[in-house]
Amino acid sequence: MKVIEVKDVSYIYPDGSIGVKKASLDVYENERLAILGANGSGKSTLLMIMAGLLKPTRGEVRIFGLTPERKNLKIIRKKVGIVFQDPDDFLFNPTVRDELLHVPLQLEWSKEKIELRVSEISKLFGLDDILEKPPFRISGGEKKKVAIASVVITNPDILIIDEPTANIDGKSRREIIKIMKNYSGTLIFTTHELEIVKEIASRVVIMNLKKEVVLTSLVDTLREDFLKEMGII
Amino acid sequence: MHELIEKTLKEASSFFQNFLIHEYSEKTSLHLVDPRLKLIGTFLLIILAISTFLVEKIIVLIASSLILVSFSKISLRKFISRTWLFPVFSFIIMIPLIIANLNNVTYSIIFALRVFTAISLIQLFIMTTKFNEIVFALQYFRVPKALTQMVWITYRYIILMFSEILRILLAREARRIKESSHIESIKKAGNSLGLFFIRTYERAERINLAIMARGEITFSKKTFLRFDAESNLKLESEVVDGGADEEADGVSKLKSPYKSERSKELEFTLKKLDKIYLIYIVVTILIWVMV
Repeated sequence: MKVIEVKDVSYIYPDGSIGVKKASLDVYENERLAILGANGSGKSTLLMIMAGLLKPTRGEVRIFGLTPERKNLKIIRKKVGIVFQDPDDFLFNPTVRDELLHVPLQLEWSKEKIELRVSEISKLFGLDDILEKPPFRISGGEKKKVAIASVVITNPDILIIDEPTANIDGKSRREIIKIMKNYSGTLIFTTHELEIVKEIASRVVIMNLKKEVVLTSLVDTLREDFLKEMGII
Repeated sequence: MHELIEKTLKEASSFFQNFLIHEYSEKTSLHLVDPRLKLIGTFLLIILAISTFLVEKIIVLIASSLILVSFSKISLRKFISRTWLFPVFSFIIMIPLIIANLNNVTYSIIFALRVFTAISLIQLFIMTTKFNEIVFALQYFRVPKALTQMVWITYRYIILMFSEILRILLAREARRIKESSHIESIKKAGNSLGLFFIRTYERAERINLAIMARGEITFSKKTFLRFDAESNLKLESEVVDGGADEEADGVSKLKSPYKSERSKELEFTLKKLDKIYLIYIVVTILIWVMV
């Protein structure tokens, strides 16, 4: 079953620069999709479009069959969770605990359910010791984990993560990879690390510097010389 | 000269970055006092501080705030490091007045002491109250929602703004090989300022997207939580109506399961610590009146 359909989508930023050019791809239920590309190839913009955050200038996006219009956004937000590349942009609550509670409270979960889920997630992500700390006073790896935990807490059907392992240490990296591997829903992520792609992804989308999707392929059939040519490795 | 300005900017960024940060990890009795009471108490004491020129009365208030500091187990050093700059600065701006007439020395000292008292009380309030509780207290006292939301966002991102300035200044310093002339420095400062505005604008755009991604209702529908020693999770307030909850999109409005609990909490049920705090404030006011 297709969960996201991107048809001939282009995005042009207000300053006239191209974000994404004529991209087309489908994402299927429970698949693990990696988006690869050199810096500036439009990966993050494509993720934003797939999460329904940016409205394409041209083309069409359907998320669970719904277009990202205002009337559908509430349903889309519940089903799709996105984590930004820079956690400082993403974390805006006073404490880590508040970050975790941010979406559950909007969903008006019961007190017991919230307590249980917060304790599960903080244990899973190893956040117990920093729950009362302000997010801007924790390390980069912890910030990343908190950002992912604050989205995973509600178990969205689709989890989108932009550069999950960028700028973090080895331990946090391993922990995040483990969490991504164990995630049961549809997973879409961008990365520059081929190792992670091989470990987690089932399919790969490659973008070039013209902001185009040039290839969608199974991980096993990826050719290294092509990746070198694309500036990915 | 430009080095001095740059150094001042750097120190100021570092100082203000820390000024608003609440030390969540240090839980003391004062943290557990109702934020609404603390807001009223702080407000009253500030009013007293700025309405007198009698040194004795100001000393009563300074002593009162310092007793609260020691009671809340905040390190005095940390407390002073967050407050000293303001009275010093206010004294500096009074220097021309002193030069004009030496009789103004006492007035200037009292003025600086008044500033110190007010800043100490504000700092004590910030250091012992979570910022969402402050916003909750403001909303309780009918401060317009638009204003409290603005305060919230400003609080969260002012810290990032200062760290952005600091990063730009540090990045410049890291790549500075030789001393530049004043004109060059001014040009570079202009470039840095431009860069800072662009970065701030872009960050604002990304933050807006993050808020949208994590629920459109983020700041129009707020729930404030308070954690205390008795219960791990205690909801203190209801969900305030938000635009995104309207039935226009066909999704029915959900009822908050915490509504009744919050109504109870809003009734100002004074706990033991709240009563002690209240008595303390009343005693301080009485002493202030009697002195």
